[in-house]
Amino acid sequence: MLTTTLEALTVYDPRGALRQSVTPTAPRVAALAGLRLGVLDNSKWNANKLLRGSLASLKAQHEFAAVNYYVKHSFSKDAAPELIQQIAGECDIVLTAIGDCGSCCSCCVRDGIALEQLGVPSAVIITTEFLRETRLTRAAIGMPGLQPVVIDHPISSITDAEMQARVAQVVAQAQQVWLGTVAA
Amino acid sequence: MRIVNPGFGLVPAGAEQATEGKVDWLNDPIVLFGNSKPNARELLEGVKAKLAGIRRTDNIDFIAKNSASQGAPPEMINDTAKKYRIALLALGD
Amino acid sequence: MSDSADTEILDIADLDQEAWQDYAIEQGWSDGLPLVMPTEASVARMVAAAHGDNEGFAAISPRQVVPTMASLAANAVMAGAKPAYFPTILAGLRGILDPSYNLHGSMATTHSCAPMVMINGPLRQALGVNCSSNCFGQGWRANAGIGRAIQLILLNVGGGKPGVMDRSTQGSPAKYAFCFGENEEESPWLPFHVRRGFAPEDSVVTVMSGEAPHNINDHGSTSAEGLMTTFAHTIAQPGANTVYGKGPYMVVVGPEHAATFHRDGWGVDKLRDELWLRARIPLKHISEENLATYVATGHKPTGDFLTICRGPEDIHISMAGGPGKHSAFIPSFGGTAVVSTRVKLPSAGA
Repeated sequence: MLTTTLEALTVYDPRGALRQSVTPTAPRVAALAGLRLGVLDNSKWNANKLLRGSLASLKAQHEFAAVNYYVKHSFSKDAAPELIQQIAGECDIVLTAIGDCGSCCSCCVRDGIALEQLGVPSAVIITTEFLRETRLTRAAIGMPGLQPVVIDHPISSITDAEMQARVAQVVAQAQQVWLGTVAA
Repeated sequence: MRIVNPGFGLVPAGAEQATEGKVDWLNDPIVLFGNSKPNARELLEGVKAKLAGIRRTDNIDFIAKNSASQGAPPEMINDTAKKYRIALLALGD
Repeated sequence: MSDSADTEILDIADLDQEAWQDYAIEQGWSDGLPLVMPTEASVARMVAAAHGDNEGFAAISPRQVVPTMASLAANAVMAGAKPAYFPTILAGLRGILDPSYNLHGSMATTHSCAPMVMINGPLRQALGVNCSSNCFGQGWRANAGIGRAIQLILLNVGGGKPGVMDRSTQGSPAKYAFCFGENEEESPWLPFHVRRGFAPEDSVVTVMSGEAPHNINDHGSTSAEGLMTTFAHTIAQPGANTVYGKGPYMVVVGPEHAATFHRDGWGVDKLRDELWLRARIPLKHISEENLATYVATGHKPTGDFLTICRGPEDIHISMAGGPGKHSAFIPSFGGTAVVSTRVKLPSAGA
């Protein structure tokens, strides 16, 4: 058998140097009653069903001052800066969905972070399969503290009964995200 | 330094060649062998028309295999070889 | 390039990394990417890994020379393959050399086909073959090394030089490496190789001369019936070689689509039967000139449609990929076959 002695070598790190700034999330709210709730629908299959179901349940539990529904028409792209500005001006908290595939998950997380940077606590709904991608994205953009709402995968091919179970997951977790009662 | 040649290989024993024999270019049967490519038949038929000026054409036949991207079936090759002395194949474009 | 088929060992000047890459590319040995140097020692380690496989090989088209174990191993070394991959590479090559695969035709063609390599059985895990997310893509040494080694063998021993004997009009990224594993663990169906008569514990390599995978995106359908509408119409296209109707094709179903088919009771046979009946090209999608040629060469319409294979047995279904609503259609070169070969491992004997 051939034996070799490994010499110590210095090599360049092909990943480059990381320069990241960490931005904190927006301050959490103390209560949900009296707030203006914004819903950002990314137009993915069943996002509408999931969000409408969640809204109905949330409205039954809390007296919101207003509920505003927004739709972005390309789920594989970030929401336009003007839309983010508009939502931040018109809402105190935001619920957005759905990150159940690669590009839509990445974009939902980026939209949520953009809103948080403007001071709006945002609950970003993703599915279990895309949790790792969410963690990497939020770290890369510099907001590792963003807490997503994680519901079961998949979303687009499920029955109405399965959708109701997903809605229950959203409602429970979204409130914790806005109130800051979720463990980091 | 020494390396192993990634292109190295052995040349297989050569295939048997057809026995030589005198071909009668004016009278021996000819097969025009098409491969189903567009215009293969048209090209071969054109050759037959030209040949009419210099030799008999009643024993010049057109046949075709049905897949241009595969070799003809061995039976087809054998039957054709038995029946004809001269072959013209098309089309390798 | 000079044809140096007559010398198994080459004595070359001492070369550093950069000089070696320049030399190897000048010889025409590369796919364009750097190559690992096939030293006698590294080739010997590769050959030793294939001691279970003692059968000779047929001459490789188009150059028609018979490879030796060392020359095949040299290509595997250059591709960056580990010795453990070598028996799998050889099994893939045996499939490619089966006459029904039609190597000479698929190498010389202007079509963009590449050897598709699919791996089944326990070796997938042992070698780290990716069967899940991004299974057709980059990032796994086994997929890249096995696929690239087969390509380099066809280039260097086979002589399929791009632009010379490989006359592909445009080529394809799949020609660098096209190797994936079936996601047997998440499949609702029997593994592909078991359906073809191999034992579950066999490791099997399946090859087909095919195009790069064509995506089938369906996020909205929630039923097998709905998915089949998307599958059939994605597959029934007039611009793939399947239009000639004389060869096989593969459908690699993603796990979420497979789960929906399975939930609705659709097995592999049902999928094949439905695709045979529904994945047909409407005549209005086919130009008059083309149709005239197809009819003249024995491929006649069935009603208002043109079939794209000879029957359900030409439709090959496997399951691979990770989460998401995507599947893939892999049209074949046409004049080729789907060939499966068991990997011979040293422990199992010859």
